[in-house]
Amino acid sequence: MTTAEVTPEGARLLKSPGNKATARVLTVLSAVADHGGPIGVTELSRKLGMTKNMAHRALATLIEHGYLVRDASGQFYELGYGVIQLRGHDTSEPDIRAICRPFLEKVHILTSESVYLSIIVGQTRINIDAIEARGPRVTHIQRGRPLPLHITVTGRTLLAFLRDSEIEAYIKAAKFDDYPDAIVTSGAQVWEHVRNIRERGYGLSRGESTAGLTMASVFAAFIVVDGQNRPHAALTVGGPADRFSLEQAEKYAPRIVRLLEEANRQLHHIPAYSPMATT
Amino acid sequence: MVNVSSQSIFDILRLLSAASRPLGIKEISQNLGLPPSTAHRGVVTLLHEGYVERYQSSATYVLGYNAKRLRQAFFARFRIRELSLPYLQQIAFISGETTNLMVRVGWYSTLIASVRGTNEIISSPFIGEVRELDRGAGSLAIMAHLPAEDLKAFLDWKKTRSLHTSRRLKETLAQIRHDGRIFIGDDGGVTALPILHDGSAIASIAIDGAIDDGMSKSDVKRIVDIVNAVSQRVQQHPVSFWNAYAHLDPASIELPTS
Repeated sequence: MTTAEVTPEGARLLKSPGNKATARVLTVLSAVADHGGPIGVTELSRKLGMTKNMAHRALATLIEHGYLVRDASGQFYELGYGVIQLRGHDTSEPDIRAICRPFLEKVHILTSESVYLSIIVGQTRINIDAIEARGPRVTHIQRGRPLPLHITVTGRTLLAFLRDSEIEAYIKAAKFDDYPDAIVTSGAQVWEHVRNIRERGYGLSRGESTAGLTMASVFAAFIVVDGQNRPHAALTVGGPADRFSLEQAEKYAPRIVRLLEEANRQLHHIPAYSPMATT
Repeated sequence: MVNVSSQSIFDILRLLSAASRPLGIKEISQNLGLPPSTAHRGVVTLLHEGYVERYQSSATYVLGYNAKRLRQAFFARFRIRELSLPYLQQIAFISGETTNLMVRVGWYSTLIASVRGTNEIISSPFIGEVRELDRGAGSLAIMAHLPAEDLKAFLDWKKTRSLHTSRRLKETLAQIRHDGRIFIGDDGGVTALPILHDGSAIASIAIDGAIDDGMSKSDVKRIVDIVNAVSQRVQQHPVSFWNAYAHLDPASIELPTS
């Protein structure tokens, strides 16, 4: 808390009645923001231990400045548009791609194979960054082409880190018939793969044919998570099987997992998107 | 003993928000025309409530964690932001360009999310940037889908504030409705597409650059498809994406534009 920074003289200032009223305005503002939804004056005054009259006056001041607005019913108060103005000189927003880029580079240097970064969009996974290997490589990526989560090991690894209820919801909505040649063509198989991935800690797959591949190939998919263990993204490394074998992928895996611990640390306080928020 | 009014508290917050660097008490008092003692009391109150913090234990101040938290809570009020973010990532990856999300607030638009492009030269817009609704591609993509009476009210509002409006505004808006997108050439160019529900724009996605020039037809189509996919997600549960400030009289909303 910043309270510790207030000098004794400052503390004395804070006690004067007028300054207390001003401080109360800020306390009310914080409380409405914390509430997360519309709040009425009765609940607010009870929560903050102030009289309704005091709360009313603070609310009126905040409305006047646009920091709060009345909701559509007119009975409750919500955060206002005036908050846009609180900007500060640090305006950078966390960017998953920018944060993960150095880790893609490290994994590429480690393995010399192609490395992809993928996220969940709706019911699909898409690539948002890639470093392609030289020479023969696994796949010519179609930029941003979405594929249902169960089709690729990357998608299944992302899926494995969702909640069981979310996986059930995915299975319910999945159109397995659209990809009859896929490795996974049923809900039961989705669960089998999810269990394997959870047990191993990462996804591993050999020779998938669906992504337009012409040669046998091996993919290993690793998860990047937030502090709640929710998936931000998957980092997938893949190569032709004669160069990048299952054994090699397993050999690299512990080092990649260790590398990504640092990425997880950087992403710890940034909540992952809820990909299926509205479904 | 001098008491600090709420007015000066908000003035100090606004000043620190607009400043490009930390400010000291003297600068604050000079800038706002407040006696130094009042500025000091204001800062102490804001410090105590976490709205201001000391910059690296110097005698200068920046916005505090509570101000930042408030901003996050404000953005969270637009659920379209959370829904759109992965789609913005996808567009930024396909186009290589910085991709932004704009929403309407009163007669303004504001930028509530931005995903940086992969191209080497990228612009960095600031989140929370406010423009009048007829300024910029992202704003116009929203405005093109306003009902006629709202458009009239907007023009009246501009008139009462003696602000300039393009004489070709109506034609431009009709063109956007026809094309489904708009390209504006200043600042390196921006292409914007609306996220539509029931004929009105919930938000717009603005992509740096002219997507029709630099990109293959199939990439452009993919971007259009992505924006349509966002619109479809909105259809599934439109109530969630209703604009939080739609019930307010737009003319009552006053925001500082950049």
